[in-house]
Amino acid sequence: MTSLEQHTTQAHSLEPDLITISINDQAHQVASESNLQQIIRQFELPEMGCVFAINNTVVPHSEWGCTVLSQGDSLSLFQAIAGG
Amino acid sequence: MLKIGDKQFESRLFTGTGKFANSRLMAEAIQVSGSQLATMALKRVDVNDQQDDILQPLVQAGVNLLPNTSGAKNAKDAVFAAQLAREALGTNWLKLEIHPDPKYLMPDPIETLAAAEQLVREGFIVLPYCHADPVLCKRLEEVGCAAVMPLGAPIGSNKGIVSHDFLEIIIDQATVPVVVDAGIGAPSHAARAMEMGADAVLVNTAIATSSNPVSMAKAFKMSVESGRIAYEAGLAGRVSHAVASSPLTSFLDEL
Repeated sequence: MTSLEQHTTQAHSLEPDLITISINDQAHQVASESNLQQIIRQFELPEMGCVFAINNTVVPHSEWGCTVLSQGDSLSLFQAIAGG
Repeated sequence: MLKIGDKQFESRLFTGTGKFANSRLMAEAIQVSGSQLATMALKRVDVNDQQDDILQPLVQAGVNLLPNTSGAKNAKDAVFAAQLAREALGTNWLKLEIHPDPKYLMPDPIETLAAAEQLVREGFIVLPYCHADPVLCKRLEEVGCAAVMPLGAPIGSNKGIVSHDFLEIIIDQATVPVVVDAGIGAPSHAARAMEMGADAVLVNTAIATSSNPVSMAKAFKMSVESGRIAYEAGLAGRVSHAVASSPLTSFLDEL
């Protein structure tokens, strides 16, 4: 992380409407009460081919909209890629 | 026509999507190959460094997806990967592969059998990548796998059908389709597998890393078709001595 990014992160963490979550062990700031659908949009990921897991349990796509995140939540996020 | 699980395939060439220079080339090669089933992998996303979207061109081309469990080192990993893949891609088809050793990528037979049994119970159409082991292939069939996918040679090695004699036994015994997976490095290898009576072959590296993947895809398409026709035609038997093809071979001696 560059010093500029560190500065930005610190500045953001003071904002009341942002929370810090972890996606694949990387810290990210998102709007508080974001759901998984909004995470996909925020990070410009394709809807098809992506899948979330929380505590090694797959979150069905139908539950993305109602899975609301809290400060400190830890997500695993996978995507279909090329492979043999 | 080849039938696996609930699907029918006109093409007996299955393809992998890895190792292509870019997704456009991958999609074009797969289209030219005529393949109707293509493997994919799953990876943890780095949201700051996203991969090409390879899914869209495949879906648009009408290719069925076969997610794999690459990266799984045991049955538990593989079951989790399968559940992720089903949700990510909306298919219960699965290439089950468990290889704990990164050097040779040999499939673990014990973990593969355990995972196959559980995944079949969970409703997956399981196509296990396995060693060319006739006993294991029967066991995988017995637990409900929709096909078996024994290796021709180590993954990505391009060595061809080095497991030939064991594949013959597997093909002879199987009551589910046999897909020769891994090691096929040239169209002639694919033709050989098909002439032996394999139901299909799965090819990735040999197409993707060739100098011209689109042309190579066409060559594989033709060789798989040719090999299958030869198998159905019934290869002529081998003998160890010469048998004249012309009835006049002795003509000059009789003068």
